[in-house]
Amino acid sequence: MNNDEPDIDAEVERLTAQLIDRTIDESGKKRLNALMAQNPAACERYLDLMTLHAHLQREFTGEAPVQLPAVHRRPFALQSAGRLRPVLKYAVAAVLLVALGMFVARLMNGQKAESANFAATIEKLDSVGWEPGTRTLQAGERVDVGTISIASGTLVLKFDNGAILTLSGPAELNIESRKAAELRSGRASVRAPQDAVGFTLRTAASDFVDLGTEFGVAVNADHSADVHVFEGVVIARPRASDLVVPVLRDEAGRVEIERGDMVAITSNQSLFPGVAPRPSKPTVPATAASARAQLPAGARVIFLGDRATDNESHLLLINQAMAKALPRQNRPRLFNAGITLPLSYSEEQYRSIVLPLKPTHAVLEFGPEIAVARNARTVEAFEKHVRRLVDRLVADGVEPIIETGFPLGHREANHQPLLDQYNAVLRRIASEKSLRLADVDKQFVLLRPSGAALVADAGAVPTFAGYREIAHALLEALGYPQAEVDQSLEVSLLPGAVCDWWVRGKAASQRLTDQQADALLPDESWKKLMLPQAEDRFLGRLADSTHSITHRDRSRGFATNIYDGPGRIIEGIAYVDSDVEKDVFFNTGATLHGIWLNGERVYIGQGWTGWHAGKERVPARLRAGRNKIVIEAQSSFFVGISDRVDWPLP
Amino acid sequence: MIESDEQIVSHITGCQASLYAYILSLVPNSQRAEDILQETNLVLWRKRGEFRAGTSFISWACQVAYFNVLVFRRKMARDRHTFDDSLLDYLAQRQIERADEIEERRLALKGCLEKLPAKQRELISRRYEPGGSVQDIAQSKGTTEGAVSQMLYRIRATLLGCIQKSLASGQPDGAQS
Repeated sequence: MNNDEPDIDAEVERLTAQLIDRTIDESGKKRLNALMAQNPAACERYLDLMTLHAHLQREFTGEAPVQLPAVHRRPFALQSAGRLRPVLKYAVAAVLLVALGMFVARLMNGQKAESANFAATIEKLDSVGWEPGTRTLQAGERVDVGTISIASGTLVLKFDNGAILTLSGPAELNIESRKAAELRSGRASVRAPQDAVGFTLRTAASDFVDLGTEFGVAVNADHSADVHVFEGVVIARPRASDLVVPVLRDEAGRVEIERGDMVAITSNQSLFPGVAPRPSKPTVPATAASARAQLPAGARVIFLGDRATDNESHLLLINQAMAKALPRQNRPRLFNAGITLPLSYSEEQYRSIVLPLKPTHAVLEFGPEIAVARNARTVEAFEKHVRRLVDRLVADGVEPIIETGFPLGHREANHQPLLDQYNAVLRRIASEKSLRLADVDKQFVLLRPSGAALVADAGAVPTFAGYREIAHALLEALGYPQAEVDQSLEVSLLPGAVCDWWVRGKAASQRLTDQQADALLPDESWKKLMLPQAEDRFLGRLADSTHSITHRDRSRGFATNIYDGPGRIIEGIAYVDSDVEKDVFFNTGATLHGIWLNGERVYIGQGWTGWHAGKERVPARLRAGRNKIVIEAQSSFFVGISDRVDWPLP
Repeated sequence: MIESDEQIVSHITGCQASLYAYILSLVPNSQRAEDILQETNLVLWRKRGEFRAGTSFISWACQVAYFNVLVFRRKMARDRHTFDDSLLDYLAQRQIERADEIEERRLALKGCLEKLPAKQRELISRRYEPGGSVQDIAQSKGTTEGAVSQMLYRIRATLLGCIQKSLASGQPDGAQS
């Protein structure tokens, strides 16, 4: 390092500080320029300082408020009226405020400053009746800032920035500038070409900023304001709160005046005579017409996918939401086949995993984990495999439901372009075959500015907040947009869980033979294990134990973390009484290697088939009286017994 | 793949702080940087069809902003600019390369501000509150502008050191034991 460099750095810092504090003179600027031109390290220091300066300005100027509003409404396409997601609302509101607040504030401040005498031209008058005592206007007349009141008819104004506003009487409009007006009463629609982006229509309840749009605004008798967006995006900025809410095409919202809250309402283009009829939406096949219809009574939905499916937090959330929203007899029954059935399934797998459950619907959740695999499929192969599965399901009378893959976590971001292509394939197939689509990717991307952690940083697995968003998207696709998704899971012991065990560790090489399993009896070398297991010491430190899959599943009857050391596995014994001899199914879960019933092997693990309970449903026959169950497992297990193969989420 | 309007809105809203920092680095005048940011926002919206999903939005936005900076410099050709063209180009490219880190710096700053002694925080607050200036602070404290600048210089150096430490430790909120 050159000995002069510290001095150069110090001088660059001093001059940059002068530049920031506006105390630098011309010779100082020249010197700074010269120093930085010779020294990349000085440029870095300068950029560090200027970045800090920019952030400090935003932190303290009030343009990026630190105090967050109490309520935020999400874009209506993704949010049902009255349904809030408190986990995200502060973060979403904060980011929208920080970002759009300045943007909108700048637009508005600029508009006030630019107020000029003439701001618009009367384009057209249609049966206009003027309010008594107010000015009357003619077509072609230039109008300046001020109020226009009409008792009836419609008046079309072209603002000097290009925005065209149609006022429907009775109504009162105050022209503020060439790109802003206040609607004091009545209804108005605005069509703003690209050049007119930023046009603002104010009301007492809210400002509405156009982003290249056609939209209508109605001021109600209680001074609330309704906005209906027909094209593009409008930013609503309620005056009684600091919310900034994007409203998208075909959405409508009402801003109430006291608290500035915003709720979704039904979009109604007919209220605004100035709005040109929209091209009718493309005709959709009959099957798609019911794309968002609720599932029929008796629906049986199987979930096919990878690790995220296997973790099943979203399935449990959906099940819980449906249990609260629907009578028991109308509730769809949900089955998890995550990991169990791979996307490139064999016929034998399909027949043994899918068909026995007699599904009416199948949710396809493939994508993220495939994209990050070492030898990830090409887009063509992915499409081929998805189409094969979709076609097979359809041939069996099962309605496929497509779910796009959530964006990958930070450390897997290099695989995102491939996943984007997979998602494009999924959207195309859904569109082409008129299938229900849960566009989870779109929803996550929309929420990205919120800063909410929806995907685990390390890989292709959602966080609990992410699972909630997936549940929301799926509930909407399944026809239950109003169903509430809880913040926490209500978990209890799974039906049929075998809870009373003796366990001990042993070398992994000492696998049991049938004879050994039959002869095995617990003695002092075994430990008693009652399920659910006692609370782990870390359980109490979690904000919500049901957000942790391990802790959640301990409460459901999984034995977890009974690791006995490297190179060791565990074996367990349980006794089950039966009144009569009968056929049953063993529902397996976690890292179970094998099951023996009364000395006969009934199950042997075939590679990793997932964690969730019921990943395999193994037929067996209990004898009347006492039955001995012996298991081998890696470090965790779930064993449940049901009378039927039909073992949906409870 | 072209992104939807709502995705573009999300991107634009999400990159405002980084974009402002980028512009201010090239045009070290707050009011002018704000004007360029505003213009950039509108251009980003108009050109949204040109953004391709899967690429870095902030990098694209910075390139659009740089174009606006150049337009601004042409408009203000009679003014003496702080940096000559070649240095400006170098700074613009470096700041684009650093763009992904700018947001992390902002998050780290929040934690670092909380660690400042109360007097230092009050001073930095007064400097950056609306209408705040070195001159006003000096006047109200009965000291010289140079003395205030020196104090601010030290506080900024402290904050920068804290931010660097936070980034190095991977704790963007600056919370370090």
